[in-house]
Amino acid sequence: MAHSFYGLDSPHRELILASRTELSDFLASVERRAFRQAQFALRNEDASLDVVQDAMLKLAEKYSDRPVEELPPLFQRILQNTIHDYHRRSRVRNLWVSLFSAFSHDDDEDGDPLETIESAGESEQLATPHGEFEQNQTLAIIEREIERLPARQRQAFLMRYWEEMDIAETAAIMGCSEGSVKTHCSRATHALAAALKARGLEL
Amino acid sequence: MNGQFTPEQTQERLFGLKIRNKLNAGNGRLSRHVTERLFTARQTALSQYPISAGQVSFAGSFGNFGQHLINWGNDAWRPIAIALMLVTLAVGSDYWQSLQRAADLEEVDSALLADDLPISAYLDRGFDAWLKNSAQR
Repeated sequence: MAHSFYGLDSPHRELILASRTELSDFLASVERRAFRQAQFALRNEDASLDVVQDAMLKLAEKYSDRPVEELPPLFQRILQNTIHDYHRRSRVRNLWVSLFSAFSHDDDEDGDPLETIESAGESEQLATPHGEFEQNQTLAIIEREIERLPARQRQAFLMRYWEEMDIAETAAIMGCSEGSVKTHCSRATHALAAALKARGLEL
Repeated sequence: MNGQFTPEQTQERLFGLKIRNKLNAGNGRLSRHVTERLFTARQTALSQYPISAGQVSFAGSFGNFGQHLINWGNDAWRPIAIALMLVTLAVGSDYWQSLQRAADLEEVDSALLADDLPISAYLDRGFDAWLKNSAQR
C-alpha cells in the first residue's frame, strides 16, 4: 500500500495520488460539461443532475487510489456508463409513460423535450441584450442539433472535441475500435455541419 | 498521434474546435438551480472521498494536529515536509540548549582562570562550596 502511495511500484513515472483538493478542482472543472453531456443524451434536467451526482460519487468512492492525471478518462468512462444505464432504465419507464399519456393527452403537442429546453431558456433570454439573445439562439440551435445526432456519434464527437480526449482514449471508453471512433466523429461532423448550414448558421 | 492530417481531418478538427468554443460559452449560462445542485453533488462526492492509507499513517503519527495539517495541506508530500520540519526543530532546540549550557560554564571557567572574579565571589559561601565540590569531582 505504502509502495503504491509513493509510486515505487511504477519505475517509469511517479504516481502522486489525487488529493481531496485536486479531486474537488477536477470535479468543478468538468461538472458543467458533464451535466450538459448527460442533458444531450437524456434531455431531462433532473435526470442529468442525478447522473452527474452518481458519476461523481462513484469516482470519489472507488477511484480515490488513482493519480490525478487518470481522473479525466476515468470520469468520462463512469459518466458514459451512468448515462447509458439511466437511458436503458428510463426507456422501460417511458414506455409506460407514453402508453399512459396516449390515453390522457388532451392537446395536439407531442411533448417534444426540446421545447421544454427552449422554454426553460426563455426566462433568461428575456432580460438579456440583443447580442446575447442571438448567442443564446445560436447555442440553442447547436445544442438541438447535437441532441439529434445518433447516440454513438454524439458520444464520440463530444469526447473527442469537447472533452479533448484522444482517439485511443475515446475508443477505450466507448468499447470500440479507433477506426469506429474516427468514423463516428466524421459522420457527426458532417451531419452537424449540414444541419447548421440548413438552419442558416455559419460557424 | 498528432501526425499528418488530411485536409478533411483538419477541417473536422477546426469544426470541432468551433463547436467546443460555442459549447463552453454555454457553460456559464446554466441556471442557478443547476449550478447549485452541481455544487451540492460535488460536496457530497468529496465527503465520500476516503483518506488514503498513506495519509492515515501520517495522521496516526501526528494525532489530531497532524490530521489538521494534512487537511490544510491536502498534498501527499506535505506531511513529510511537516515531519521533517518538526524533527529539525526538536533536534535544533536541544542542540542550542546544550550550547547555551556550555557557554555558561565556559564563562565561569575563564573568569576563574583569568582571575577576573569579583571580590564578592570569594566572600560567597556558596561559591566556595561549589569550588570545593567541583575540585573533588
